[in-house]
Amino acid sequence: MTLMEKFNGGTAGIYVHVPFCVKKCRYCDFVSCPADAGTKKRYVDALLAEIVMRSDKTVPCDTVFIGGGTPSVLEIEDLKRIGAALRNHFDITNDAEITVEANPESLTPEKAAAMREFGANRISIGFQSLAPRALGVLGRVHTKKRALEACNNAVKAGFDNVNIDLMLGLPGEPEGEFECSLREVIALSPAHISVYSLILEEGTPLEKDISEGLVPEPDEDRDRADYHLAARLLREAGYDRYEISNFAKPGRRSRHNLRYWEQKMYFGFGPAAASYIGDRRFTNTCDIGLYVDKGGDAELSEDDTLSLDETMREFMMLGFRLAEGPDFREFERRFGTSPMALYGDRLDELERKGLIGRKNDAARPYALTEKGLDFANIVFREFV
Amino acid sequence: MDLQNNIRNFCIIAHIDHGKSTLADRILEKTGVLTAREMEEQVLDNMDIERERGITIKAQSVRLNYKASDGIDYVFNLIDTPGHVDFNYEVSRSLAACEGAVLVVDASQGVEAQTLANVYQAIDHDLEVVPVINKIDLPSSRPDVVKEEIENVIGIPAMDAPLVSAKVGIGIEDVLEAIVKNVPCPKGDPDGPLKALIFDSYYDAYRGVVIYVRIKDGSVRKGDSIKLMATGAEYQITELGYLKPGFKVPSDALYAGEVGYIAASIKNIQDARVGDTVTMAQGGASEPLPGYKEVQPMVFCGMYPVDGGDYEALRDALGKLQLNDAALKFEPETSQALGFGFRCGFLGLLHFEIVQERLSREYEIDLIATTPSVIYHIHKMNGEVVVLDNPTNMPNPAEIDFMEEPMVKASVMTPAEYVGNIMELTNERRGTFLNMDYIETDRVVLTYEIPLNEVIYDYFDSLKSRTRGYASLDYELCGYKKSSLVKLDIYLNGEIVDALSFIVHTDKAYARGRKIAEKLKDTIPRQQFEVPIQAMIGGKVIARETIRAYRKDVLAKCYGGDITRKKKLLEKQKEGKKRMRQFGSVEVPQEAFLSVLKLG
Repeated sequence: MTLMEKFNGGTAGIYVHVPFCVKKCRYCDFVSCPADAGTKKRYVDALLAEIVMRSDKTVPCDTVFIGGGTPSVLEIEDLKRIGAALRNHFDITNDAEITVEANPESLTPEKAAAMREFGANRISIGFQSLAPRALGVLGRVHTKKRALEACNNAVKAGFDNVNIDLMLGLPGEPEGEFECSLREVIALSPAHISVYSLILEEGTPLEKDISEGLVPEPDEDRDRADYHLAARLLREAGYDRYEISNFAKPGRRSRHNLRYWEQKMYFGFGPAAASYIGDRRFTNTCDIGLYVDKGGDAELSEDDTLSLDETMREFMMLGFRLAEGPDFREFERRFGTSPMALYGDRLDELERKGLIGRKNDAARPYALTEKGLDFANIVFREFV
Repeated sequence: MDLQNNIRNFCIIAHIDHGKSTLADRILEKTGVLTAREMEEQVLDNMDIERERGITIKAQSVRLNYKASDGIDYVFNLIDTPGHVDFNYEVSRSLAACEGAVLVVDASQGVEAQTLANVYQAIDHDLEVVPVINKIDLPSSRPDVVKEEIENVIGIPAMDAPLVSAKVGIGIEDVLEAIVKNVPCPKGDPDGPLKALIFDSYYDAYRGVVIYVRIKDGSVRKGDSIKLMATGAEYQITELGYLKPGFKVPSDALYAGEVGYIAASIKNIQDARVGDTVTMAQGGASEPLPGYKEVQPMVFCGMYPVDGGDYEALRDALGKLQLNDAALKFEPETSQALGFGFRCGFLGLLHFEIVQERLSREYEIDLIATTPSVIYHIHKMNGEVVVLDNPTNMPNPAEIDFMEEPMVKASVMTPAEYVGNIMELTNERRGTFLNMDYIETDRVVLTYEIPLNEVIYDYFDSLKSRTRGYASLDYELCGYKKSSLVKLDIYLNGEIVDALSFIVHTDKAYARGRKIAEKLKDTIPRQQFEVPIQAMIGGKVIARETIRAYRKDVLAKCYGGDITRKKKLLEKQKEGKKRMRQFGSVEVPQEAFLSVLKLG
């Protein structure tokens, strides 16, 4: 077995980071900023240079994800150039899942059409909320009306595989606010819905306001109540929770994101993008200016070679994010040893604490319990 | 003939910040031991902690040569002394090695509480006090007023006191001449049996314990067999000599009146006690020098390694610190909450802080310290008296007839305008007013009797802040008094945390209990379940807080590049958890202990 197969299976994914937005949201700590057309063009030049430089046709790529930032702010022309470069320099399979992220304010019918032309067959739209109060707190630039229009634009352009992102646990969120957004989203019947708690990242304007007492702290009780409500409503609507924060209709799981949790290979292009190849995981520079200046060849911000032990523990940690739990058979196939032999004591202890439970499934004998979903970090920490 | 005629042994005493160390440096420079360029500022304050805090903790000693205006070459031994009230014993043993004391008084500040305390100590040791007025370069200086103050308040002649600016280098020569003229020469018996006073010691990995001595009578040579009189231990001298700043000059012998060091491969640090007398193993003195007293620590607390594996390292480190710090006492103890550690005795809170800091800096040991306690006397119904330095060992209240706590007599010197503030503060601290004296028209000395327990926390800091830094404090133990005291226990999730128990006056128990419960609520992170915090006296809850359970601990999102970042976050959390102590099922961070300790 090659190193690549041992560490991350036989196919690869591609992630492309688009570090631009109409306006930076108040909670966001991703590498992104507003930019003019010239900046975007120079950025795409650098991105193409990186893609050419790292050209690799030895591995079939069956997922592509254009994320951000907000890829929908790219000019149609630039989007086309990225698509062409990827196809020229990587072996993108015919059945590849190709996702583009979009925010409502920039997802016009023209953009949606251009994305289809680019080859995208999946679109992920960042609603976050449909409540005006919540959109204000988060510093989102769109309105509820705009969000619904954007979704409609996507569907009209031919996207049948749509994801919608929603946030819960927002500061000052009254009972029912999240539920209202969620019900409206369910009514749109997208293929996939992500529901995740707001994470207050240090240094963001929202975090600063909260630490200064200008904005109330998110209420954990509200957060959990809404999370459990979401799980129930989505199950009733035919969505399957396959990961802590991800729900999909049958056959519509995000293949690209599953790749991360199943510890498979990926190439990452653009600033702050991570790549995982063989036993090496590295992250590009987070400095957009430097990335552009160096023509996509700036010094890496992270570069780790993972030991076998680290890789195995990470496999478990990521696997426990999945509702079905880590795949013990795949573990044995890759590493030639069983998680039971290595982590039996830890698994017993976590089971005793009620965080994970046993299932009647030889390949995936353990998964997070309902309680474990709320306290998953305790499980993860056992494996870091 | 007597060699002793040309020797002058002296120390420098001063209130903190009056410029003692700066003057010492100038004297070193003037006597050519160091050129100005070689001078590292404040040479005698060796330890980082001393420089940072601007205080002297360890006595240092140097031998200097000075050709006086009478044309004679003199040998000076300068013995530096600590300046904080916590370290009075160190002062006392340094004084015992001298015949004179240079008293440095700030020309603007005048006489302060510690000036007086130090002078009285010097006079107790029969030292000749040589006053020096420092900082005359400052515009606010008023040397004549200060001279008068010295004469009136202390009662020693001061009209001829040298006027000095140690900082600028004015008047240093006058100080040296005054030392020659006013400090008496040593008058030991050069031919008598050896009597040498140990005034300091330290551990050297190659030489063993090195002791600093003042030869009172007789002489001693390399190769001699010596006896340490307190323990009777005998050793053969491998090396002896004089002390220069930062290095040693070996010689063949040390004679009566001289100051120097002796190394004798002393392996057992307990044998070389500061204050003890060194004599010859054969035909030595029959009586030791007077003045050796076991130092009595006044404040006790438990010290526990954060990592249980550091227990032996902590024992080792305490042993080494003790060698240079006669006042530090320790013995093993165990706590249900904290595991294996040591009960340690200190002179005061500053001493405690310094030991803690040295353990972490010099020995890299992470510590948890329990609430400091003084020594209580507990009189039981059956007539038995229990001497209690650890609240955990407090007898059952039903068996107690009455309790006594140690009292100090404290003098606070202050500008008159702050008298009201000081009275208020000292009343809060259960102080009893004894006396008020005017030193000048606008400066007074207030004398109080205060429970030591009230002084050791942050009395000094509060005093400073309520007098804009002008008040100065000195205190001495003055016996025990009957008092209404109770043991306050802290319960977490229904289980007692023995390390947080302390003894407190009944009137203050309620407020203290509430403050501690609040503080713990703030510093203990939320757990997976609700944690009640209770402050209890006997079986009665006097304060209660609840740490709400946290409802979630989950990274909602984890994609691509996030894996490295999120893993780091989880690792950091895991590291943080390791630093927590497990009490039953409750995890308590070290900071929680420290925050309670700082409450006072």
